[in-house]
Amino acid sequence: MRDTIFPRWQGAFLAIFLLADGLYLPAAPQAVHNLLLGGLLALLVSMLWLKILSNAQQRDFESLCQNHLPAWACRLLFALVAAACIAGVWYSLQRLSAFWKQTAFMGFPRWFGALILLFLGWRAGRRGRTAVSMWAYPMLFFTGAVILLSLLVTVPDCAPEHLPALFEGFTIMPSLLCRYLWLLLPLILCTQDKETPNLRAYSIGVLSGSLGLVLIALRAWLVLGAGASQLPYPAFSAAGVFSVGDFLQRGEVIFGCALALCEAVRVALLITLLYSACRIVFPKQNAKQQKPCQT
Amino acid sequence: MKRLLALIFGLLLIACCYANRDNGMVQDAAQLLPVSALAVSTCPEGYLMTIESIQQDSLDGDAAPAYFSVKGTDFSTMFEQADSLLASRLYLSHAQVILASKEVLQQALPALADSLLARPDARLTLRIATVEQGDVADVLCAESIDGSVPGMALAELLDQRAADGTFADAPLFRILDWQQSNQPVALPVLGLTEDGYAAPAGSALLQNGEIQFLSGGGLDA
Repeated sequence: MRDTIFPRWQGAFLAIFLLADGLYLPAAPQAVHNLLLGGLLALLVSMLWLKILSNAQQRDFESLCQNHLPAWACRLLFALVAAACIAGVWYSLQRLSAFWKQTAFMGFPRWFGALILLFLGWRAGRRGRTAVSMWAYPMLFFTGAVILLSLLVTVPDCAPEHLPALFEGFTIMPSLLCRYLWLLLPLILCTQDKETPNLRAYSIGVLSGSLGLVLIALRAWLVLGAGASQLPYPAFSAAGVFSVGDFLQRGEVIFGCALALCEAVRVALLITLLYSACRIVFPKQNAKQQKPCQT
Repeated sequence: MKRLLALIFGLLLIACCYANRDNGMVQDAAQLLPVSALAVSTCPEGYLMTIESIQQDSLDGDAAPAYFSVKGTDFSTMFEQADSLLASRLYLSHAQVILASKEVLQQALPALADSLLARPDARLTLRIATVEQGDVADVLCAESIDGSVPGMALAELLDQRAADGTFADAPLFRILDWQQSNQPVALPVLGLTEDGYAAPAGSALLQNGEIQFLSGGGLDA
């Protein structure tokens, strides 16, 4: 039986996948421009992808490949997808463990943080895209609320004199734009049905994720200005300039936790895709492992 | 499931052993010494750092200040010396004010900022102020009018005056910005009243290693 994923769940996991980049954004006017451009390009690509699926009358990437490609090409393609997933998981583990090591858990080894994240991602990811998507939906509300609250409370600390720099020209930052290429992987997990068209949900998901990134980078620039270049994680540091007495002294921790959760969802999604790809690349092994139905 | 739990427990155990063995960064709360304010000035040996820590083990439960000083040729060394002197670690998360002498500001403000950035417990909202006449340590240790911890009273004063816009405000993140964009750094200036209390005493502009004191909004206003 095929899994059922509601469109809004898929929109949510696309948004969370994008938001997972929020901790590592640079704080510069060019970053804001490039994130805006990247978001628009991501939106165009996702719309194009849905159009291709609709025209081919296929449900998702898997069925598209299986119905239009020879078996060997399909296996080769999914082997590449699996390799990309492993690279994506490795990238996430590396950057989040480095972040933890530099900020919160200086005494713990990096491999320990990576292992925790991998464990969480693996436990969630092995349950399949339906489960991951279902959990992505409430998590988007949680992370969205935390990010919005964090942005609102730091508005008084934004320096208006940093605003003009935002209109001083545009420079392409390939490293930042290339981050959007990872979005191609969760798009493979997305589905398109005649009964439940997904265009609106996808657009909202990609736009809200991109907008979140733009606002995080914008806040970091407006709060820290040129001084951000001296900080390893300016987007995270900018969240910490707000405090209420002794109780909420470390507002950036809550902000960081919400984005670390996004990273865990990202890993879970990639592991889900990895499982799906492995099922296609190694069909016989999986078939042998399946238990016979008991009557 | 049991095997997984055992695996997690084992990994936690290994990681904790590793942390304690390697760099001792994982410590319990009793090993951390909360710092409320710092004063930095120059001395023949290099720099002199006076640290105001908070002691909360009094019988009446009130926080009481304790002061000690360390000398060194650079700020990182002084922080290390303070850690080794106490057999515990300075905890700067509650520190809100650093009083820096004009010599320190002129010669070593970027180095001071860098040493603070290297400590994850130091906050970007940590305010830096200076003193025109007298010693920064005297201003830091001056008794507060309401009898509270002097460093915390200073922080409250700076916070209040920054909020109503009657005094210069120089948190660490603004200083980093001004330095990077080659703008003059505006700092609040504190001084001692005739009664021996710390009070605002104008502001100072630091640019290209030159410091200029401006009156207004303080003792002489």
